[in-house]
Amino acid sequence: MNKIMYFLRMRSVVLIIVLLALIAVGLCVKSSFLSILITMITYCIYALAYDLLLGYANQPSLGQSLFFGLGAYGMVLPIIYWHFGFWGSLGVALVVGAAGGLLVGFVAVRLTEAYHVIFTAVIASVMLLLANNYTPITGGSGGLSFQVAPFFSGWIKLTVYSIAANYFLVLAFGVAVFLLLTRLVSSPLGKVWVAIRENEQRVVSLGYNVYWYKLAAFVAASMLTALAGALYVISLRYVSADCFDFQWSVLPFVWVLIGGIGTLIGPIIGVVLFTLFQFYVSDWWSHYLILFGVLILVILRWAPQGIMGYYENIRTNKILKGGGEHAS
Amino acid sequence: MQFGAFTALDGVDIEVEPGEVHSLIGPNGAGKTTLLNTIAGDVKPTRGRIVFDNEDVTGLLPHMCVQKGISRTFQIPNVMPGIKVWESVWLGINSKAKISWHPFVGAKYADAIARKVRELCQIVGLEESMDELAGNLSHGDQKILEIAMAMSLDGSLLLLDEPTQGVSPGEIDTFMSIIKKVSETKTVLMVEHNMDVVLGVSDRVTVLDHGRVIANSTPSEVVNDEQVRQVYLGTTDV
Amino acid sequence: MHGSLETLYFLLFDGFIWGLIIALIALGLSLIFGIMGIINMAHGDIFMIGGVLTVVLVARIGNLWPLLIIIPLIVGISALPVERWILRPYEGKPLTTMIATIGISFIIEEITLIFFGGAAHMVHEPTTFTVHLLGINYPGYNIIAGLVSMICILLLWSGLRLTKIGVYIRATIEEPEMADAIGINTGQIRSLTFAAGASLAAFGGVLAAPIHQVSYLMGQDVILFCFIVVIVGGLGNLMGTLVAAVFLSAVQEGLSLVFTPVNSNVIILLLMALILVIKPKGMFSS
Repeated sequence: MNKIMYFLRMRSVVLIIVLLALIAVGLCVKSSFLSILITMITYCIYALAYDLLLGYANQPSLGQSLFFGLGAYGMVLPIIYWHFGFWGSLGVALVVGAAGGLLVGFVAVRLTEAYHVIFTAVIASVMLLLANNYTPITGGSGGLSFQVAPFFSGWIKLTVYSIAANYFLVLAFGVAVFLLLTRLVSSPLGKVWVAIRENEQRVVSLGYNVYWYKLAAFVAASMLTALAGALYVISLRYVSADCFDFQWSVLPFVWVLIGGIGTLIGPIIGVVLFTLFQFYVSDWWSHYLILFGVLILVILRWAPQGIMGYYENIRTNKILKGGGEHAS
Repeated sequence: MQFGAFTALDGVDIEVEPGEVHSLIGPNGAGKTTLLNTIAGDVKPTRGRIVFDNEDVTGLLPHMCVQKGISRTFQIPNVMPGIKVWESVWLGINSKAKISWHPFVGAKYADAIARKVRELCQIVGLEESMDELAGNLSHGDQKILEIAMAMSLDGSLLLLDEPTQGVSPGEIDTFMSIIKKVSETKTVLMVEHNMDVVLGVSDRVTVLDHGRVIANSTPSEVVNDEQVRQVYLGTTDV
Repeated sequence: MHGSLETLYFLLFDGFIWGLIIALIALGLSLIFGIMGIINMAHGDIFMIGGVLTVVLVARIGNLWPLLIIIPLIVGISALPVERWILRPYEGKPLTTMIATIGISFIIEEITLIFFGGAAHMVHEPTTFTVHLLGINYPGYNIIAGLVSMICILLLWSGLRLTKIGVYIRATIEEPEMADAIGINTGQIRSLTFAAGASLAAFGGVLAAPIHQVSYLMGQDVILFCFIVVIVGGLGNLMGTLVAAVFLSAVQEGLSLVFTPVNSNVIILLLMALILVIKPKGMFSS
């Protein structure tokens, strides 16, 4: 037990140091690096949302681009057409994301794995077709530019045109989502999700109507994905139908896979590594998708549990050996 | 409680009195597990009725049967491997409470529930391994955890599917005392192969063969029943 | 009014023919899933390779017909090592196979882009005659393509019904454990099925080359539609897949009389969702 407590304390210390470092970076580093960090933090929110869905509630959706795009357009369209402020349109984005999640989840949640994967992928693909087709509203693949008026958060007036302000805004959301999920996965609801992941039939025999719990996870993940989409377009001040692109459904899986499914640190590590890879390699070779493909196959074959999975395995073995006297 | 006719079960009609330990025995393929599955809602009967507490529960989904007070264990340990022992029991205790929907409180939030979890683990003798992952338990302990999870549901009828199957002879006594303890507060319907256990704990024994009831009486009468000896006991040493 | 009715006939017939080609591709997809539990996201790209190779080879040989045999053979043989060395460990895990085949799909598309370029090509129809049918002039090649697909499906059908391997394949789909238990070499069956599925897709690609624009992205629309087809028909359910392919394709063409292609896609999608709500395992599941 002491070892676990020690590990937990170690982890919070590490997290606080990382957070302080991120704040320091925001205060003194130049803008080009900050914009990579902004992208990474946005992706982290996305990856965490996906991990909640796949790693905790065991629902292999391959249509998350749908909610990413809904969040993006849910944010932008109110700003353009009704001159909403930041918070108003963020609210719209979240509601739209959750509503989309509810509609898709209503069908998808009761499907078996294969049907679930295909169904969500198909829905997202059709949404991409729609977004590309309704150019007057969505701007198609050409996209739409827009302006974000300065807004108040608390007592500070923020404008996303200052890259530092933009950075701190996204960082605040990132930290909030991370803390929220840390709490969520150890809450009763989180326990039920993990139990469903471990053995769904047994949870049914314990008297749970798993449908509603799975639907809740689906909606929560959709909403957080929409948040990521909204922050993504706010930082770019530009949105296009590409937000619905199938790549946006594959990316979260790859992030979570690299870092380790079913952990909260894993997705973050995955995002950092993969975004650096994507950033530098795509700069260097325009056909970097080949490497992307190879990378997917390599990870699946040689590190299917991801970096955190590998680490956790070592850790659990240690704990088991350390406290193994109870094992019969 | 009454069970009407099923296709895999032909004209089975059993009554389980409140408070008794009722054992189902019979050769392999006699339909014992099918009967349990049907009562627990895992299998839908094509014909016949299941009445529990004067209420028709035929064809209810498994989780609704649990809500009515019918809980079960599985023959092959069917635990949630990546979940700790205390969490498995905790899940059962909370399955009827709205708290299982709470997204933010800590799982060990309330002393009352933590105490309940500990008590239950003590009753079955698992308090030593409460922080172990269920998947890391020995086979015997997983079978005990099965019973603990079913007890945690607070139902009035417990369906035990071969609780001592695969358990080492030395552990049998533990199981018998657990079943006896359980039966103080609950009705037990149990499928069991080990005759020592059946004769040791049962108030009543029903013998099934090829989906039919061939005997239904007290343990001692069943042992002496000629037909039962022929189809079933004749093949084993008792 | 009469004119629009003729257009409807035309579209329905066209949808029927296209549905038969789609059925070839979707049958491969369904077969591969049924035997191996692989959701093959690269299936559309295999179809695309069929089309692209046709463009390249027709320029060399000047004739389409022999390619109907050559290309599926090449593709089928090249698919063997992919199944054996890359996909085998993930078989039976739908999500993992889907991700792995997405990786393969990226690789195929980008390599094709490098060597073939991004522009769309067209293959000239090898026949020039038209058929007067129900008051419309219908291009002869389409009818031949439909007939060839139908023959191919019939061959597949009788192969599955009459040959020993076909019986093994059906046994493996319906009772995988039993098949293993009675000593069917499921490893060989898997390799063979994957190759056969890939060949079917490539065959569809060759047939479609004169009808459909050939580009490195041509697989993407087709795979989308094929997935809708196999979901509606039921994964691994070959008869269901065939019926759903022809039916949905005709419905889509019919809808295009009133709606834009994208909107008719949305309607097909809603139809699919509705079917899944009622029957979560496809239209023909029991």
